Amino acid sequence: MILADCLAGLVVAACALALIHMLRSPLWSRAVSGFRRRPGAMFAVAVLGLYSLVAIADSFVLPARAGQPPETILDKLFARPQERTYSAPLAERTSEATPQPLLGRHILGTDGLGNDVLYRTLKGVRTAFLIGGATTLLVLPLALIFGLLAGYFGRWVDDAVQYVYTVFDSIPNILLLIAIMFVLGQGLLQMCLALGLTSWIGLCRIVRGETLKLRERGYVTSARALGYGSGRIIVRHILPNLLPILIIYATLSFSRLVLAEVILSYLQVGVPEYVGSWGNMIDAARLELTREPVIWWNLASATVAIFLLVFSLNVISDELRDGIDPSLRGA
Amino acid sequence: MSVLEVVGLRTLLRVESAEAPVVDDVSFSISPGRTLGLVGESGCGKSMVAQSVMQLLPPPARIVAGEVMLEGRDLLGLRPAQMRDVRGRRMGMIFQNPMEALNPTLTVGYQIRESIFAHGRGVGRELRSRTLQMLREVEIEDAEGVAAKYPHELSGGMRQRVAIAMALANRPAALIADEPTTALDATVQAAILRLITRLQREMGLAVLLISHDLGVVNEAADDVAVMYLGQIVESGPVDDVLASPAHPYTQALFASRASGLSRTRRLATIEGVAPDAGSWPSGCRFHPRCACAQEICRTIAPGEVGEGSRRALCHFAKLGAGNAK
Repeated sequence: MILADCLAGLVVAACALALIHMLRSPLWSRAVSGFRRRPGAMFAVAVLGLYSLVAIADSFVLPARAGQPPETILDKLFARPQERTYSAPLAERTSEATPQPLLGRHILGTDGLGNDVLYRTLKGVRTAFLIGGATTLLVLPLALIFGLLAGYFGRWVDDAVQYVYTVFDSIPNILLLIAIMFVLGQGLLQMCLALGLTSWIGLCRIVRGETLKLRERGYVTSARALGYGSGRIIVRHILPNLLPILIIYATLSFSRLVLAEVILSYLQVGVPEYVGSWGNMIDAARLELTREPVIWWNLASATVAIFLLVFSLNVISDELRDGIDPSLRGA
Repeated sequence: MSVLEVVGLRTLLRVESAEAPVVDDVSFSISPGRTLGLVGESGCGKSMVAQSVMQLLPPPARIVAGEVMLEGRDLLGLRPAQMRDVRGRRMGMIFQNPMEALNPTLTVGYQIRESIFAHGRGVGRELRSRTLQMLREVEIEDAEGVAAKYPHELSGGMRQRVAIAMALANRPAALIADEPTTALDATVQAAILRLITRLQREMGLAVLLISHDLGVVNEAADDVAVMYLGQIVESGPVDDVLASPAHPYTQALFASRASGLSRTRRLATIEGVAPDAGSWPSGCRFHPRCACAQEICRTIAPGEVGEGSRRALCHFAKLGAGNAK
């Protein structure tokens, strides 16, 4: 858990750095200020903001009482007597004999173990953020370093990099994922590592291709004619021009990673059960669908939560791209 | 004493599996404050000369012989790191397309600062004032405003000015201008040419001006070298050469200019196209397209004839005698 907390810290720090950088550059702040005029983008930002609040509330551990497991702010908020088993959303009658007032009820019902579904859904936010964020943090440098080197230097460097990622790519992704998870064991961190190792190839290929293209641009030639070294050219003249693509890819891969977590947890090679995650929820809910009457709220809550996150990320990546791509500027 | 001297330069280009010369025994020298105009049609090796001098050749090309002396130092003997230090510090270069020459993600000011900073010349406030000074030197009035702008906010002419400022920011001894005005419209062309000429006078620059446009060379150059298929076929002071071209190729180029013709006459052209590297004709390379080719031209490559500062590569070069024409 300590490692996961460190990772969470890293993710937050990286996001904060990215935000500061964005707001300082006029190019980016213009793109961001364009958000205000678009209701779709504002909605997406609001959803992400809410999710972030939940993830933060779930990250701060309150001083533990004697004999009790440590609780986060989120746990505290949902500290309510547990039910014995399923109850429908907003059900009036609970295990307590007296009917509860509206606010005291389980808004999204409870699952088979009597846990509040809203609480479990919100518990999944932090897991999703961690997996999306930490894995992206692993994927970005891997793909960037290899892609840039291969694209810029070409020749044997390119051959070597291509060889490595083709080998990785020739193994079916889901098999490789499951294999890595079996070797490393279950856990959040292991999951990030496994997802990172299998998903850097796509981005690496894109970075390599773009670098090949940018290398022939006039400003790169003129940078060479000004006597700049390869390092300076790669970092100052090629990398910034890759940013629009990186942003899109990073946000899209974030949502893809959230989905991958769900699938892996559903296959029961994902995060362990005690970590609340949407994949685990769906895995548990799959059996409940066969019951009569149908118990739908468990599955629906997790699905809607995933949908909102993925949708918002896609909207934001789209808007950002429109805002910062120089070729679309002024259009 | 010349700043930039090229002797017997020979560059090969790999075409499929064979290597063919694209620059063949080219020699010239430029003194401080002088401009050499290098003219010729597309594919004759002008840009290859520039790229050979800068050692910025694309991978399939390589230099196999010759000397490139800059301020008395042979650049071909330098290690890559030393050559990198020469580029941008002792020798600047500007390119054809100013729309492409600047990085779209960085401000103009940053890019000029970087060209100074990368060669370790100045930090902090000094760097900033040098940047603004360079912008003013290329005749940009609102230096501070322009420094804060991104390239896409500037016109083509402005961008070429900025590119010149970057190339000259470290006070190099030589400037290579590869078709610097080709992508600009006519009025801006003249202004950029005047700017280059003015800066050259002030800084005592040796300029290699590459162009396919005789008008540009006539306006800005002191000497001219005419290239055809990797060779310099004629060279000399620009006024002399244009007044009485000695080589048939120069005469043909001169005749096919658009200016000074009546509207009704068809524009003169040179028959045929320049062949690709690797399939150059024997004897005099121009003979298949030359109006006055004789039997000797087909078999024997002409030697250089010279008189005073003029040189020509033709069996029938009319040096001196042509002056009376």
